[in-house]
Amino acid sequence: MTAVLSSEFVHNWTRNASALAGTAILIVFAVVVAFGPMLVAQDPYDIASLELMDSYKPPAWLDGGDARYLLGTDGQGRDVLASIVYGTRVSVFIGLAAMLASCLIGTTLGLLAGFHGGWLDAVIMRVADVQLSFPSMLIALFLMSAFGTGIDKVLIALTAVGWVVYARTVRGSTLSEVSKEYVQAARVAGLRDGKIIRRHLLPNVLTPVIVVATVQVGVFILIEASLSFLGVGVPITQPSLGLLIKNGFDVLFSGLWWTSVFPGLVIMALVFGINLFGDFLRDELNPRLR
Amino acid sequence: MSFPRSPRTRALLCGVALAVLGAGAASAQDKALTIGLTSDAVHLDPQAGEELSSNILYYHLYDPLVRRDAALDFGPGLAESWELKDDTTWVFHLREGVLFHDGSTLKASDVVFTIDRLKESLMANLGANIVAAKAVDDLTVEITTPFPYAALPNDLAAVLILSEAHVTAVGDDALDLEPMGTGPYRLGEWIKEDHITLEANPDYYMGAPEIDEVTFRPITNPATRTAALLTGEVDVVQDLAVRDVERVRREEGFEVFTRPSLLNLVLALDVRETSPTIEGPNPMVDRRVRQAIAQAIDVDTLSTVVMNGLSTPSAQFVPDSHIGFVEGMDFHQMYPFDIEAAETLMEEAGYADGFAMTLDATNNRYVNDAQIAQALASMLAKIDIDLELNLMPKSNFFGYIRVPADQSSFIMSGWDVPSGDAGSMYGVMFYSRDKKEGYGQVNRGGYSSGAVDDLIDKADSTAVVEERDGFLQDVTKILLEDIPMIPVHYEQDVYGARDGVVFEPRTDKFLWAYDMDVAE
Amino acid sequence: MLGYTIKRLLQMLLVLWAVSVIVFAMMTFTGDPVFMVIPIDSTQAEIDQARRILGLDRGILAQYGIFLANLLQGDFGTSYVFRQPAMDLILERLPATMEIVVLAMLLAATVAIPLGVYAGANPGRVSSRAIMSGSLLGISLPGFWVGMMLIYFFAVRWGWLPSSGRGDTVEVAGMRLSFLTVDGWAHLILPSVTLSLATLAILLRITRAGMMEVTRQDFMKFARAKGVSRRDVLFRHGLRNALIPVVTIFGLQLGDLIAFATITETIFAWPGMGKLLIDSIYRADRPVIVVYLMLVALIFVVINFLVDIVYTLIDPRISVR
Repeated sequence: MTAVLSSEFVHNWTRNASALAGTAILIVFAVVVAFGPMLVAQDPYDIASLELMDSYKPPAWLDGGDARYLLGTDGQGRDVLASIVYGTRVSVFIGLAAMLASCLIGTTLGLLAGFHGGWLDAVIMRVADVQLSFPSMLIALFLMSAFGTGIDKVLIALTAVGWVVYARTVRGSTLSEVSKEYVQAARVAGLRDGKIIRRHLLPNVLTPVIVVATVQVGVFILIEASLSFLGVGVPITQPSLGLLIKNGFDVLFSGLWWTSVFPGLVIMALVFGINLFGDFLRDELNPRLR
Repeated sequence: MSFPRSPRTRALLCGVALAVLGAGAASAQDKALTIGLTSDAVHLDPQAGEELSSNILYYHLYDPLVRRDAALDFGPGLAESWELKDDTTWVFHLREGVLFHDGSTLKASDVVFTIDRLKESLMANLGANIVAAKAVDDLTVEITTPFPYAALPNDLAAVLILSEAHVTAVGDDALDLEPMGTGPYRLGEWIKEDHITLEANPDYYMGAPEIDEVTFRPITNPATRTAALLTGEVDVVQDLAVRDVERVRREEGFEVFTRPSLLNLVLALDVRETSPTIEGPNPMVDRRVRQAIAQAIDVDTLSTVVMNGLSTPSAQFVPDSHIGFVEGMDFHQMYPFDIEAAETLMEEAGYADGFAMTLDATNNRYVNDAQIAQALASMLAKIDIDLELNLMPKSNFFGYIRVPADQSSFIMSGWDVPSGDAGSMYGVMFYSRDKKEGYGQVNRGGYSSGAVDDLIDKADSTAVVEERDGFLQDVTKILLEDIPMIPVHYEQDVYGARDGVVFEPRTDKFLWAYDMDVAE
Repeated sequence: MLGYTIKRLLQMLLVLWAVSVIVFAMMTFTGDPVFMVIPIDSTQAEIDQARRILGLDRGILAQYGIFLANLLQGDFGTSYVFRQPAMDLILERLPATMEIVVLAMLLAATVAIPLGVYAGANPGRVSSRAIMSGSLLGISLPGFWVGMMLIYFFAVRWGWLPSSGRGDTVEVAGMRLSFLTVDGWAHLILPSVTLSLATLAILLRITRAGMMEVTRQDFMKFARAKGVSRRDVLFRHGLRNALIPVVTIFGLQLGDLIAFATITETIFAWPGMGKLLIDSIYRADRPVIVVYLMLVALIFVVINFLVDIVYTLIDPRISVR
């Protein structure tokens, strides 16, 4: 944890081109997510404000383009740029929220399993084993098909597949920490379990968690996009980037490429930025994982 | 991307593409046709289930007693003629010497077997108005109905005749994989999800088909389907995406065919005192609110923008070719799009501030259904009706909106009546609920009118078609006045084909290779 | 070794059982399959008849009991929609899926391993950095979007390759295979490339990481000091050790490929079992979903077991627990 704040870390950060590039991309996306709605003229979710007559306008610089719609419009007359801004918010929100939920649940279970051991450890790890016998995409797909569409349901499905990796990582580090002298000493000194976990274990197991969490946001964004592409993700009234691509796919061959190409490029840039940054974090925080 | 880029590979790949194209055209004397369908057939046993792809295949392999042609006119099929013996008994005379694919001759006992098996099957619904069938001699069948029922021949157009000997020999389950009938084609091979190949039946009772070999390929994704047409992998595609129509029209060597379908997209309004998704009393009890909703919906814009011009606003609940259609009446002329009039009506009814409810609709069943639902929400927002959209895949939808579940206030769904008769639709959709077995089971809005019930009863107890038509037309008039349902539009069926394919789309969407040809 | 095999076998049975329970429990949330197979205007009597025919007229627990009892006799259940044994439906489509999965895996391995070795052996070079950035881009791309773009350019714009389907197949031992015909290859390329991309990127990164790890190790320095050429050191000694993590990830990747094949198959209308799964999900066809998931779990467990064995073969220091 302290490693994140050390001057060496900051130094390496500013010297590493891909880390800087990743950071720059993420800052742009942070601005879009925070202030995006103020930057675009249209609220694509306000269904009453849409003008059907403006549907499928090409980007502004092409014949038939309209200056009001820089990247063109979709079949409902929704501004593609505005849809991307709002869609990015949905995608990022889902990625972050599902990561936080997975992280919280997984870390807690991992700590409990490692620290408590015994039957609790056995149960948690068996469940994790069962889950790991499936690709997470398949589990999420199956859960969504049972739940139906909805952002809340996507979050549940992603959390259900995401916690395992934390539980495993944290359990491993906890086991190795528990055997160390300072934890033994704290136990002998009569410190309560909760305090030992909070004070001593948690800070020491958190480094790998940070690395896993960063990369997982990107993975979740892509899984959500795939689910939405298959029609079992977010509802059509609040499209994420993946659903925008799916809607665009249906009209790609009619030459209406802008409705799918732009959201595709944006999702690629977003996940690329996250991965660049995550890569750097991993190299810095845990050289052995490289 | 790791795609090979050397010129040699490129040339090789081009060669491959040419070889693919060449293979289709090579066998000139043996005419062949490849058709891209939206999905693979699920069954080849006509009593195991129904969806469009299977239906298309059924009519290639089997024949009904009564044939329905491309324009929905009914005529003799395996039965040469038929007559009424008394009010509830029909006599059908079979054509002589019709051969099954295995060479055996069609007999009256096969028809009886088919109907008996039908009544025990998942498709029992198709024989709902048949009490029993009896073979009088080898070529004569007597069919009895529970009450005088004029539409029986129309119903029989959906009953495909099986061979008793064959079904008994292969068993019920295997019929799906080893279908055998009297139809113009017989099964060559069926590689699931890849292709179904049919071979011409030279002994077909109406003469051997022009096209010797027909291949059906399932291509679910509309964009991929368009691509397959343009690259020459298939000759004809079903359900060309509405947005691809312009592109295919522009392309040299391809043609687009459209035809208004029978599928009427309708909005069912809940008319009961309280409604599942509306707080407080249900405003739609008031006819003025229902009319306001009708007038707030701009079907022309829906047609031009969302459907790319490929839909026809529906005048009534059934197409004009149907029994029960009233000449000269048009819902959208009675209640034209007019926001101000709609606002006034809402005000008069005491709902100037509008209300909120949920629209239940599919997102993968009808053409552009999800977009239509969104457009409806945006239109109704203009008269302050706040429409929450509950869009589901069809696998959830039809269970969700089922009548006893009662979870809906406002439902968008499609209805088609291939039998050419409004009676079946009116009986299940507008007859009072829980009053009579077989009636009112799809009456989702809880509409109840004594006059409508009486008229449907009368229509269903006459064996004279003209009388039935009169009663059903009276029902249509009452419904257009009461607005328990808003007819939106008929989808247009859109097909793409390469030049040289002789092809006329059928009203019932059942592509039939027997009616097609390919230019040499 | 025997003990280990038995343990893995028991674990596998546990997984399969858990899958069946979970799928049965979850499927009670989905639509009622009856409404997918009967006309919408069916009367209650007709609905009841359909339920009876499909075996849906009993409670969910009773249905599960029947499912288990049948399973023990080798009957995996009958599809509601197709009225055919669910296992037959899936096995029929298994070769098609395995064809693109295996080709994607081969493609990924043949491209990724040399590039990964190169980038790991020469970490400082610009070309290595370009390779690494490219691989990062590879894991950042949504696969379905890549597939769309490939179809758009290669099939529609340039017309070089077919957009969908399997093309000509040859039947070998009851399986239909595309890779034995020219036409089949033309159809295989785009789906396999689409599917391989993410795996390619991951394998590349792991190969590189393994390679870099190895170059730091003592025996390498030792060998260099002994005067063995750099190239020899890298490929004789380094590569073997660097590939150990690649082998472990192999099993996981194969599972992911099977999962993502569902999307690839949907885009390219490839008649594999992934497309069957998606269709079955839309149709609430529970028996097919259950068998599919159990089969994938089985494949997964078997592959991981094999991977463990291979692991011990290439790295004698490790023995299976």
